[in-house]
Amino acid sequence: MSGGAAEFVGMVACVTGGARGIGRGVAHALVAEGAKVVLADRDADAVEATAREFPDGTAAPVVVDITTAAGARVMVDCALERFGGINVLVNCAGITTKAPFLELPEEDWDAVLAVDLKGPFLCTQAAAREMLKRGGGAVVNITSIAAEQGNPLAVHYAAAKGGLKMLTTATALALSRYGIRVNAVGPGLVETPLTSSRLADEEIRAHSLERIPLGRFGRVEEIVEAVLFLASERASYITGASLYVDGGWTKALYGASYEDIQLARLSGGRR
Amino acid sequence: MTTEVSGPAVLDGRVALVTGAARGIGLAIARVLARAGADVGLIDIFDLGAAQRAVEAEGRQAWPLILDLADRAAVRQRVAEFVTERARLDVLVNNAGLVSTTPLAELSDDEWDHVVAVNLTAAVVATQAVWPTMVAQGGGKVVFMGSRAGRMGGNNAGPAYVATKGALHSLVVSVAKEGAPHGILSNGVAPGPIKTEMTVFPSYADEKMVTPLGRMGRPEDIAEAVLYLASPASNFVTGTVLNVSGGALMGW
Repeated sequence: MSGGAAEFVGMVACVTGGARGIGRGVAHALVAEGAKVVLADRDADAVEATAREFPDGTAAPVVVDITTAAGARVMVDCALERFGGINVLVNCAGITTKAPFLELPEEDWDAVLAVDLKGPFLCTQAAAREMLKRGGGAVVNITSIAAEQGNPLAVHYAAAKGGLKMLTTATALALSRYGIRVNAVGPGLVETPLTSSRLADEEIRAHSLERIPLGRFGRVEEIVEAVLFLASERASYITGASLYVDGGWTKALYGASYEDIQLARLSGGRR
Repeated sequence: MTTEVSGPAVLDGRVALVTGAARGIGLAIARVLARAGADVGLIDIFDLGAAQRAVEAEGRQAWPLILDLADRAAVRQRVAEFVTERARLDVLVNNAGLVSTTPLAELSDDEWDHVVAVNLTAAVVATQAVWPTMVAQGGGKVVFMGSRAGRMGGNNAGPAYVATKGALHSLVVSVAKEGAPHGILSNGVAPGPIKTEMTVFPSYADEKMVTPLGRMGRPEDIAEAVLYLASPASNFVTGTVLNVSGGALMGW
């Protein structure tokens, strides 16, 4: 990241949710710095298409379900077989649904907790078992500002991300003895293919921008810079930390993002 | 400038100012910022020869300013002069700090006033002094040096140190909000146990037992975090205090 410092030469990384968005951006940046990456995703077509964007021999797609220990193991085995090791794990995979709390279906809760919290647990466990044989490693979890400020239309997502923040702290303590560092990056509102349609809504766009002290949305590459910093040797004394890349939003005390507009629309105008 | 989207942690052509640059963490910050391409102003009450040599060894220009940070008027004047002469300032690192271990019951008014002056007031005044220039140039980065003590109440440090560091954590956020419309980004680094001349305490005797990572931090560990926050790599990060603690509990 430091202008082609090639600080990940000889390293192997697994990136979950690697087919698109932040995961794809992280993978590209790691390869640009010399790493080999395993792109883990459950969307076979997307992850194979993304893998073709990379120079030959630098990226391996693997289609896995990270909500099972077997799936996490397949991802780590892919790193060992294709690239001979694993040094870095970036837990980017995340999903959510939106529903008012009183109507939030139990199956949505289970699905979001499985991908957003159990997935990082299983992937970190599988990866750490191999990292410790190689003297250490670095794990970066993608959390969210929702871990701090909640989200009235996605309480399952907020609970999962809050849980992931503590998973970061607790696994940092559990794995420090093996030289494995664990940190979190909490994105604010980032313009991605996933958010662009919602941000095209003028009212939501204006409302959100008003609440971000820096007055703009984040970009994937800014999350990537934070991830690469925490994964690199430059952060070798940082573990258990959460870094928010949010334009100041978590300190703005303006509450949740455009969800309050959506909530108001759903409840007939009452915020 | 800082309104731009984040990019590599490079400071080519930028001007930085580091307080408390004579030794320890401040010296490492000066070196790392220079290595990233910045010319660096250096402030301390102590001899700045080592810091000047460190910056120049990286092929960058160093401007040493011997200054007592407890002297508010002098800080205001000298920092403003420095910024005016350069006609710009991209990075201000409010690093200077005194450790005070005196317990509350024994803390004199003079010691309290001195610690507050150096640790807190100097940071406020220096930031005020660079503010008009940063506003005029469309932004800048301010990094404050917090502390685990400011979050946890301190184990070795006394109330003066703890309170000033806690205040700096709050100041980070206040300056972030006021600076955001101007493109001025404000963040902090909260070091956990770091091995420097200032931190020789009995509880740090066995380094392996001090942090979960099994070592104490070094000034370079803090300097790299400061570089991240001072550079374009963090252009969407403001109002944050980053813990650099080796996993040592930081409270939050």
